[in-house]
Amino acid sequence: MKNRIKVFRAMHDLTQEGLAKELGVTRQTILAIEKGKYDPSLDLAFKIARFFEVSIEDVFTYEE
Amino acid sequence: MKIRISRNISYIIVAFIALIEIGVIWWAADYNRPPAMEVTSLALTIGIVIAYFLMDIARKTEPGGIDERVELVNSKSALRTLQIFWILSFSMLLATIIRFIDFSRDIRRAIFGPVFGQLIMLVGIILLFVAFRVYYNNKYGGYDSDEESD
Repeated sequence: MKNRIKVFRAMHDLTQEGLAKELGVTRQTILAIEKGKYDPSLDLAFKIARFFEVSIEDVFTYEE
Repeated sequence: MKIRISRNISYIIVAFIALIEIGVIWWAADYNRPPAMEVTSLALTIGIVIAYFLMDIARKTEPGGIDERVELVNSKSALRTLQIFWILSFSMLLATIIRFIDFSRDIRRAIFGPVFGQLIMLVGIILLFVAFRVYYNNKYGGYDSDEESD
């Protein structure tokens, strides 16, 4: 699964630590998601999308 | 000076402390006279206190609590550990029984011995695993019926 969290973070001028605090997860989790090493749960994916006020498809792209 | 220890390092140090404690108990059983009991008690107490402080330092070094990724890492690690531990323990205990079993003796005495007890516990783990599978399957809707199965 690809994602554009890094782009949205830059647009909102947020660090990984800052985003992690906003979402109530660890910085390592944000790092792992950004690098594509960890696919977040649906719950966390929605939280990320809602935080950036975009749809979930804007943040995440599913690839077979 | 602030001491920083990651959780993994703290676990490894605690494991080494536990190994030292086992060594002390071994020595005490071998020495078997004063002050073996006092030294063992003191060593166990010191070990527990050090382990507590180490875990506390690790908690402060890696704050942020548990999130879904950490939970996944922990549960996968625990499951793999249990699987490997189970296979190793079962193999070792079985090998011990085959090595030391004496068919000329009344085998019923051995049934209640420590080796058989541990084997029964390992079988108990399988039953416990099944019980948890049923519980979690039920919790996450595995047994729910819908309009297609009615």
